[in-house]
Amino acid sequence: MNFTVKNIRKAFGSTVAVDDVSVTFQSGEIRAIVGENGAGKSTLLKLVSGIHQRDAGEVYFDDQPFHPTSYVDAAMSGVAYVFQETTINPYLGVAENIFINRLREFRNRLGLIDRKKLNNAAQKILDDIGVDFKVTDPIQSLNLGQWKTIEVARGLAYEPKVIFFDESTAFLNYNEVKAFLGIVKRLKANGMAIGIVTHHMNEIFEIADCVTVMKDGKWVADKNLSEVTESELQQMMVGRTLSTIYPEKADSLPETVVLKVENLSQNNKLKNISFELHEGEILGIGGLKGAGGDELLGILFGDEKETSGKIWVDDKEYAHKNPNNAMKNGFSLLPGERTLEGLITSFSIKDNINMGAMKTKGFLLDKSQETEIANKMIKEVTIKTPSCEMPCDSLSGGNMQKVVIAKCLATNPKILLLNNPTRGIDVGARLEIYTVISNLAKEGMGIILLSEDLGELIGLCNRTMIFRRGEMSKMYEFDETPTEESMIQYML
Amino acid sequence: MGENKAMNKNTLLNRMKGKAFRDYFPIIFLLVMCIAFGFMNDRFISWRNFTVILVQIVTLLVSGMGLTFVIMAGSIDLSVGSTLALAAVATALTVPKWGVLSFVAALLVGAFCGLVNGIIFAVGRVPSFIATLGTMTVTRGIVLILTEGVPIQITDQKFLEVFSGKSLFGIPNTAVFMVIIIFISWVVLEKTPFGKEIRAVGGGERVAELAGIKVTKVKVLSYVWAGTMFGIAGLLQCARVLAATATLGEGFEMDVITAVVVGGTPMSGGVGSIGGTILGAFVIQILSNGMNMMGLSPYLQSIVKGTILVLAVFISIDRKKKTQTK
Repeated sequence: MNFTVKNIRKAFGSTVAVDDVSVTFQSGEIRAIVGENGAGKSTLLKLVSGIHQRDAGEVYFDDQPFHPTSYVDAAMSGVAYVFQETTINPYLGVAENIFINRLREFRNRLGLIDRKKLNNAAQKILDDIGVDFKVTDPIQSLNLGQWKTIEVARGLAYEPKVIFFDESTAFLNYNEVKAFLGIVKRLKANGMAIGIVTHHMNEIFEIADCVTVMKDGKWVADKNLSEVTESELQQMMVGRTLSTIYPEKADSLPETVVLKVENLSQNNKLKNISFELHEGEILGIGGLKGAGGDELLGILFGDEKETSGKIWVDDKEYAHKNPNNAMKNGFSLLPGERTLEGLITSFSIKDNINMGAMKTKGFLLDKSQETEIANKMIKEVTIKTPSCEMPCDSLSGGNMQKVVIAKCLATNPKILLLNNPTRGIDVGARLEIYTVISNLAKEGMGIILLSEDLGELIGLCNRTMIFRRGEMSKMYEFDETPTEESMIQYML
Repeated sequence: MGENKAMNKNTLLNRMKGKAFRDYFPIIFLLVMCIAFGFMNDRFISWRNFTVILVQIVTLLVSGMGLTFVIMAGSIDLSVGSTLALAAVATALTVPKWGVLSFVAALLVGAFCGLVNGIIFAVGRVPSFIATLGTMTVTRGIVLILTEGVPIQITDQKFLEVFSGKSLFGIPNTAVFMVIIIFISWVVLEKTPFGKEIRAVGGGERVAELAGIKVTKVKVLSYVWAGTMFGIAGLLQCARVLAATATLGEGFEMDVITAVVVGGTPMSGGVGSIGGTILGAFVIQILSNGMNMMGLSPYLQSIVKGTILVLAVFISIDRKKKTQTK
């Protein structure tokens, strides 16, 4: 049995997510798909399992053309996909979660659910995988790894020949990962063709047989894991010499410390983080999703609470109650979710820019001053729009992000917190955003840049911290130049 | 670059096109309705009928000014009718002692009811529908206890002269108060930071919060504002009918919600205008007025009103947006 993908392509708007990729999955083989964020790994798996529809290319399943119309359609035909996100409904039972969209198959003559039949069917699947819990266990008492297993069982309930795992271990702890990998190995032994996407190199070397490397939506290489080393693989993933799209860095840093953080912790999400931010510095934070960067920015901006630790702003202890208070202390945050947290897309550019710092004349809004500020900002961060009165949903992603940056700057911050400012933004707008960030630093603003883009951290930051499971695993000092390979090592 | 500009222009044009019918629906509907009623009954278009409508619409419009703020902030207030009744009772009870000054009682009672709603909703995080469903019932209970089911008459001539008399050109005083309140509401909503904050909270609570807006405070204040408006509506209503009754404003919340929504303020918040609510209120009031003139039974009127509400939303909703309808 084999599952062959030929020259598949998919674009979302103007972004080509998967470009002319070919790959084959064999029965009894585990193939890992690796690449940086945005390389198109997940999209590839979603294309072949019916979640997205391909724009071009062929897929053959046992030499038959395969064109699933939906996720369920694909699963029924023998190709299952396990989502990265948790799709467990915590208010239903284990068996109901496994057969969530197929409960009608378990109706008795009265049209009611035959619970015994349902539980037996579910238990049988769980037994086949070999799990450490029973179908009757209350779902709330199970851990995330076991939930993931239930999702796997859901896929297996269709008795597929091919199964895909999309970063299934991303939110699991060490023991859960171990148990999960055991299950995947058992599936392989049963002769299933398996595709996995994961960021964890050690997992790949533990279970996979071969690997496909992707970069910027394109196929880079197919390798047997016996013939490559970890660092060779990382080299292929990164694949490029550092480009020149980054503005020149400052050759020295001012002595003045604007922010000092000592032993900051938040439960098990953030552990004993200490650092100093200098005036005019761009301090990078790298790490995998969930490594603690989001929490750190959230705490600094008063949006989340720490469990212990201290923060000083300009040598004064800083009690950060809420975002409003943080802004009064000179902070400004560019949130990670542009359209959910950054701006209100139905509002005008002007209203968004002024949202954080409305200008008043007595009781009333000073509209002319707001327009003036909006126009000044539009020029400063180079937003392409005919007028500041245009609603934000008329803008491209890159220009929307510039509006969020303008909104942050309109409050005249001393410390700017950036959460993945260029996520999902094309190269042209990226370059402009880098220039803006660099200029702000030159004017003396202290900037913390959390980014999933390693090139960005290397190219833009004066110093870079790497977080691993809530701990700082590395601080690249001013005179140290990090490489992408070494950064990845500290992240994993 | 040139292409980019052309595209921007194009989308702007498309937006305007898409907007046209949606945005002008209430006013088109209002005009069509007036013409239709005008043909059916020659008394309909007359100065006398206009002043009648003007007096009748006061309660609806003033309450609408309050509810517009709440709905724009993304929540709902069902306690309109009860708050209005309690404010009316407070007025009627204090008129014998305080005379004209008893309007203060109405304002305070209204503001207090709003404050309670706001705290339960914004601080206690009880969904606004449930919170105000509860206070609606409780407040009505208080009204029933205070009145013991018997109307409290208002006889103070000075009070009645001020709040339900007529001034220049026979224009009712209440209409003058209404215009002042509309103007103040418009200024607050369109010209002050508070108005912008209301929009921001309704348009994207999380965005507003991260922009440093004190979301809880804004929400509570929107309810206090609304309660105060309901209080004023209660004051003017009891002055008009010369008494505060236990059943005053029962079921009135539906009329006010209909007026606001027909006026183009979606229940999802963030968008809306004072002008829209004025239009919506006129649609509802003129519809009642015209149907009454035609002698349509209240049962049929109810059917028509309900249909209009759903129809208005059906036409004005932007189905292209993928946000959930709650």
